[in-house]
Amino acid sequence: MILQIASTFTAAPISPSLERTLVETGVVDGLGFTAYARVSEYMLTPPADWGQIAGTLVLVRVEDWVRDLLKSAPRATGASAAREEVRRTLRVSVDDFVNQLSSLAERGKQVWFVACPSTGWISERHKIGALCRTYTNLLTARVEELSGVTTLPWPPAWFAEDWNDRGADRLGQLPFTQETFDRLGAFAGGQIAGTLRGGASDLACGVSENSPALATYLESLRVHVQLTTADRSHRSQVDRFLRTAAAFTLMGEKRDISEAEIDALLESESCLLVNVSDRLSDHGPSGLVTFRQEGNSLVVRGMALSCAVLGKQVEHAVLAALIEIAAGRACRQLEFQYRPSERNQPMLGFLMAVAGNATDEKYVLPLDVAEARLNAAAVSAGAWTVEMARDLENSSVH
Amino acid sequence: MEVCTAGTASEEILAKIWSDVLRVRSIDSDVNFFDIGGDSLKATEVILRIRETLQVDLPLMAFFEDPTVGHLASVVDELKPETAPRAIHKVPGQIQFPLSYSQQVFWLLEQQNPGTGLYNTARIFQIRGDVEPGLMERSLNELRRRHEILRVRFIQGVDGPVQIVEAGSPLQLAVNDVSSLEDRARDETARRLALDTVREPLDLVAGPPLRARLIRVAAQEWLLCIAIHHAVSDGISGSIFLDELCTIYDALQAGEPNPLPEVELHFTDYAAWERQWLTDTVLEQELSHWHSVLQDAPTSLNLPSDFPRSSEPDRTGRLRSITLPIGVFRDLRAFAQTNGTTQFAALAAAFRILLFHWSEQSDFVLGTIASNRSRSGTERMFGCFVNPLPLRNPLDAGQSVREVLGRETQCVMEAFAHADAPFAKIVEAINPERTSNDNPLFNVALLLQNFPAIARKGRCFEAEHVNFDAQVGLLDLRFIAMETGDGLQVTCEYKTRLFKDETIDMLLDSYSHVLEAMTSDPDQRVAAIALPDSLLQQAATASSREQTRVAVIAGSFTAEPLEEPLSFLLNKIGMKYEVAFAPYHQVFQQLLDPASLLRTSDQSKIVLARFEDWLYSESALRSAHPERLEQIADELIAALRQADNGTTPLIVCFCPASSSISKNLSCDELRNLEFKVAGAFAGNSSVHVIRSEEILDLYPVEKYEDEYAKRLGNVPYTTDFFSALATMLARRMWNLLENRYAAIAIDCDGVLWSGSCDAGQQVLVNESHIALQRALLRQRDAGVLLCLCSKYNGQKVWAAFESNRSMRLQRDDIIATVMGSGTTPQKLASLADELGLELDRFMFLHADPAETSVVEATYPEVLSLQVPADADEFPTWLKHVWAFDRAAGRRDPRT
Repeated sequence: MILQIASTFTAAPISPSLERTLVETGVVDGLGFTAYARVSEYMLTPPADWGQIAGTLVLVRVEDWVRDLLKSAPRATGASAAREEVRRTLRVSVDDFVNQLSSLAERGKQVWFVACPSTGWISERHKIGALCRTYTNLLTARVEELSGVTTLPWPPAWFAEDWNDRGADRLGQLPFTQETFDRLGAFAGGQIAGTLRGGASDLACGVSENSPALATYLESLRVHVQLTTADRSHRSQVDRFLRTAAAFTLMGEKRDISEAEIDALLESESCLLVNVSDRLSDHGPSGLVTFRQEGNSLVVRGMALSCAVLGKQVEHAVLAALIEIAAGRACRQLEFQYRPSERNQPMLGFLMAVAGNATDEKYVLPLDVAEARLNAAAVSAGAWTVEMARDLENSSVH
Repeated sequence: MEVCTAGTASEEILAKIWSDVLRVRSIDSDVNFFDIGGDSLKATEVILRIRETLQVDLPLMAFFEDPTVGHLASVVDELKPETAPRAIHKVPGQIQFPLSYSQQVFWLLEQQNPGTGLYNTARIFQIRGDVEPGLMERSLNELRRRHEILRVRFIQGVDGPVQIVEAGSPLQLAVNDVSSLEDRARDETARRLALDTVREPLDLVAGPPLRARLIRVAAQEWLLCIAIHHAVSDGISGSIFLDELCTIYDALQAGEPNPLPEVELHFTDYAAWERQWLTDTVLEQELSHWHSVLQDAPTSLNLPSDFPRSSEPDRTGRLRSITLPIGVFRDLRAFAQTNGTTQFAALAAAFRILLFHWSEQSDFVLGTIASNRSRSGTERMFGCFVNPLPLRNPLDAGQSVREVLGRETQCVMEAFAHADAPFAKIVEAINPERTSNDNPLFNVALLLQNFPAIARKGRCFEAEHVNFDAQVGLLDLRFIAMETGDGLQVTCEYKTRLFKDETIDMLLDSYSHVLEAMTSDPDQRVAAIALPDSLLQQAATASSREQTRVAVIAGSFTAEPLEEPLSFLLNKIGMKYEVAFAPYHQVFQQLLDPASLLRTSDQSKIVLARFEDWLYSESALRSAHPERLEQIADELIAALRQADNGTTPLIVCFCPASSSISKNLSCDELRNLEFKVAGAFAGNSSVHVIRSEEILDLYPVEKYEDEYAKRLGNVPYTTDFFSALATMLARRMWNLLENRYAAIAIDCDGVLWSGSCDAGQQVLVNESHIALQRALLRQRDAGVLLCLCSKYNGQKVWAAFESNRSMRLQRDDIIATVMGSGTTPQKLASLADELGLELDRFMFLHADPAETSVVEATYPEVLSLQVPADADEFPTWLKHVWAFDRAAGRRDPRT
């Protein structure tokens, strides 16, 4: 299948950039150009190879419609009769062109349309820039009403400098510099690829599901997690995390937890405070985790992180530490006890990603696969450092 | 009258009733009621007259088992007499009367929509012949003297509204002569005068409830324009009006007294009678039927409108008509007779099939009107008898046309058999969910006007009632069918805020198509009747617009308080959006992860950002310095480029920095960072940046920081600021997603310059005009077409352009002009036609509020903008025209 390019000027220089974005990426097999003298014929009558055409890119510059009228005429004199003739020609050309384009679109194949600026040799010589601009607007407004035609904007931000090549325009109706053609081709090619592939042009940008950009960002954050043992002196911090953590908490929101319950928790479980920092900020105490050993299992009943540190793989870092603690205690598995609440689905999502489905409302992560599961669940595995309190494992996890 | 029926006493009485109702002289005992002009309305009238005459309540279905006098008489004989309602009688010596239930509905509607003139009925009579205005005024006053109801006024009594009959001061007939104007101006002036007459509110409290104007259009041609409030009139009253007016005029013209017999029973007597007769017991029986029919009925038919439905009430309407060819009409009549039903039931079945296919809703209630003139003495009574009736007949695509018709017939018959229940009482009993903008129970209706055409030939003149577009749409859609000499005329009255003319034309054509399909093959399935592609395409477009979309917001702070004002505003401007929030403070993660909520949205994406939020701790904030924030800005630009898919709009809105960070960084430094990001995406078709200054400039908020909420949950702003932010976002979303305006039609005087460009006058272009012209040029640069629309001729306008050196707009910037005579709506239609664009792509700029109002009423799809009278206010005004934002972010270099 080929992409056909129909234009009112010589558009061959757009070929290299379209080749790169469409042919080399396998979106189409090749490009075809319609000579500008035959654009009307192409739009009104299907060519012999119509079956091979995937779609048409139509490039229009309205000043080309008055080129024959003005190319031999003396420079602009402001004579109103000549001006009226230009107006009439542009008006008739807009009507004719819209009818022809409509006919092309009705044949059922995708059409992309770009109204290019009329700032070339004819426009400059005869001072008809504003007039051409006016008729370009009319053309665009009319084309926007056609179904089956995608109007692509002329991308102004990419053209900080003059994009015209008036010398080449005068000699060979080549209106733009090669750089402009390249940029136009890259832009239009990206849009066309997005449509022909039937998906967002993200795919055309080459972003994979693994999101290397996000991985790079997470690495650049240099997240550091410090785990310290909490005792009764940390009751107020424990209290705060248990009461306020809503999205990432095993226990759900515990707004009505009493001091006695917190004391009992601190007595019966190992409780670690999670301190987080990254290259931008020191977040300070940002969560907690409570656990105890039951047979071969390290049972985690409490795990809560502040929203401000989510999305930075802090939860992954905490899990890495728990794996290490469990290994140090010769446990064979980690067991998470999850109690659903109105807002703690993010915690559920994390548990399912690392431990799969629940068994008897417990999410179990066998230690022999724990690291592999953790690495698989992380966008950027190991893009963190963990520092544990001396009384835990006396080690840092990287 | 000859009623030739040999048979039982009951047969004779029945034949007399048929004869009266059908106006047929001879009735045989075995003739089919529907073959001699009977229909559902007339059948109901016969049943009610039987009830009054013979004290027998004839079951409706008996009528359909065998609609002959012989059969019905045998059923009557079998039934025992029951208590009949008392006859209407004169209430002597009284001037104060209760309102009938129908009157009460219109009185209530008038209270809910005061000063709108919506409930005036327009009676426009075209008169050919000699008319003497003084004599016409005397005739109208004699008519008014005869009918008490034309002399009532309404006041609030102890137990609700009452009507008081008074002699009142004589009616003044306004007279205009437009015959000397040239054709186009004459017709337009006459139309405007007629419209003013019928739309100017009538004061029910002060009275009188009618107004009259006589317009001389040509030597022997007049328009008599009468506005009568619906609370005192109905369709048949219009016919009585013209009949009696002609008779009285002829008599007065000949110097004779009015030959018409004095009216014995008046509508006020009927109103008093109705209140006595409709006791709780009678009502209960009637309402139990409506309860069973309307249980769980949908509150409205969800029509695929061209424009989004607004919560603001708007009853501006228009009429479009087609005439079904005589062949189609004959086929329809034959089809109804063959299937033992009425023309109305057949029309209703076809209408229901059409609406079912168009809206894809199978269960909905159609409205119609019962004339309710079945009681003796009401035939020639002037007043408001009509009672709206709901018709519900759920259908499915698998039913045959014949099945649908059978069920519709039954539905219609039962409805008319229970037409005594006042609509207000039905609504009260059902208590449907409704908004102030909706008619209760139904939003679409079908009426068949099967009374004779209102026309009269007198000695002095010939007069006939003409259809007149009073520009009112009481329901979303109302189809009115009327038999004419050419066939069946179907007129659609519709709300112009909902539908385009061309959609209504397609709908009317499709109705004709469904009727033809139905009559040609009654055994085909409903599914087999296909609507034209154009109408289905229109419905698909509407359906896609009505789908709720999701605006995903990723914020660097807690932005949830934005949800309520943003949803409210989007809904207000017709954008059906729900607001969803990405996890807190994960802007980069959302931008960089292709699987994130933000990235996967293909509808609308918003990032709310403050640079300080990436410096979370106080210490980081204290040590914040420009280089560090500059790095964050660069990273943000890179992340936005990753998320930019070139199609789905991604709005990045920078919100004002907190005062704590402002202490460490200068305003310029923060502003430059925002400019840096904005500059990186200037003109890009997908990423659109709003700077914090822009928000505060357009929507200044005195106190925007909320220290307490910030400490509690990083909610940094006050409610006022979130409202301002929501307005800014809604405005930008509307521009990016909905703004399709492609052309601006500009009237020159008071807009482009001060003064008039009319002969010899110098126009003044000051700084404010220059600012407005520059704004228009920016629109042009952004792709919008500029057109001129002026009452002066082109030479004068162009002379003003060329003679004034301050003009920024030049002739080459103007794509089209329409100058000289004609109304502004005509000029706009002409521009649209010339440019090949729909009218809904036009904005219209004018300094005269009357002109903008006319355009708004005629073409609500045009965005009609009145520029301030004081040119000094132009710059402020320009800032608040949402539609002009199109140019703000899209400076196109093709200039």
